[in-house]
Amino acid sequence: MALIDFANPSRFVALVERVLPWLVVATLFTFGVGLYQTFFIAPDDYQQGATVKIMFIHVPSAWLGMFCWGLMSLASLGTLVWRHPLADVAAKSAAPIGAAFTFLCLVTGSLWGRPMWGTYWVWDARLTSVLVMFLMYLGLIALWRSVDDPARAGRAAAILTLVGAVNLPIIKFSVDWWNTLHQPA
Amino acid sequence: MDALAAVFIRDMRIATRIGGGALMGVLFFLAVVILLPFAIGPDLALLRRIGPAILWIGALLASLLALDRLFAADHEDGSLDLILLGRSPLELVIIAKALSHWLTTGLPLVLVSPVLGLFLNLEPVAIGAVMLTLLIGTPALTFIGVIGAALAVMLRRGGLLLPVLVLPLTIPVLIFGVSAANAAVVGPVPFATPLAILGALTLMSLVVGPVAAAAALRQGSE
Repeated sequence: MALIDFANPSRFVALVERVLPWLVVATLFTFGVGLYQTFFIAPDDYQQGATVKIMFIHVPSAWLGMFCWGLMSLASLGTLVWRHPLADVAAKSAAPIGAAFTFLCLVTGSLWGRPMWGTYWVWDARLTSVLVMFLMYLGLIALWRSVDDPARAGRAAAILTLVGAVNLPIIKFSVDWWNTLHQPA
Repeated sequence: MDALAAVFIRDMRIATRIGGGALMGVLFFLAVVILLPFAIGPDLALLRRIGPAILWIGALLASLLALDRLFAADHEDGSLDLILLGRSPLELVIIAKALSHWLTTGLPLVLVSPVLGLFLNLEPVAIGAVMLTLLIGTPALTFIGVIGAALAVMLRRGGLLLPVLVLPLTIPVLIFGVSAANAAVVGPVPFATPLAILGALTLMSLVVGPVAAAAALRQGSE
């Protein structure tokens, strides 16, 4: 069976129904292992103390926030080029996940910033560009929720997602282009 | 080329006639800029410092005002279908429409900004800097806005959704517009650096905006 066969929606749904329980178990297991190692095994930093453990949540959240937009951009190509309903669904369900991880990234970053930088928030290039991405996620979710025709909403969201993808390299390189507070990463 | 000129002239005529939105944006700009000193208080030193930011926020909001009608009106009277079927590339037609939209709504904002700058106690240098940055920056707002205008036709709804979608995309323009205007007055960055980035943003939106808007109009026409 070739990979392209999974483009058939009913076959894809059948596969998802079989695989999803295992993925849920794997997610819970790896989350458990990661959190255990974070709190009980990883040593405190010599300078930051226990707050370094926030980084174990912050950095993956930031990456996932950006990955979700990248995934939505690929799905948007699928929507616009092949008009594939699975691409619509992928983009639609990735948006809240990406928004949640971007939110986590912003919140954990600001909780870490208070003891380390002495402030919850600065208008630094990295922080601002991630906040813009969060706003665009919310705009996309608002778009999905305010248009009743899902195919039409999917195509509009796809165009907006591709335009918003301009922000991804800005986020990545913001710490190199502007010398502000956020550490290069 | 004739077709593009015809679209351009037609849009200019419609915008300047009764029912067109040409001067509405200027009045809105005036209202916003006059409201802010009431909220902030008539502290002239403070107004002088944040004046460029006030003018830029006012111009940004005013330039969004008439946008959702840009393609919606054409959609309602059927001329959008003619444009879509026509032989001229849709992207170029959109640039022609955006140019006439900027000339009738964006350029007036640039022209009245010196008067409003006087209200905000700006020095002549600052007024010149704000005018120059608005002149370079407002076309970017229009070209980003056409994406929202095209999405409005595609989704068959305007209202509050469009500012929510378009405003995040305009943030870079606002950042570099205001920082260029401030750099001319207080420094420490040389004026030309943010101004060059602002120009780059305008040129980039000149490409991205019409292409995205054309895609939205084509997808919406089915």
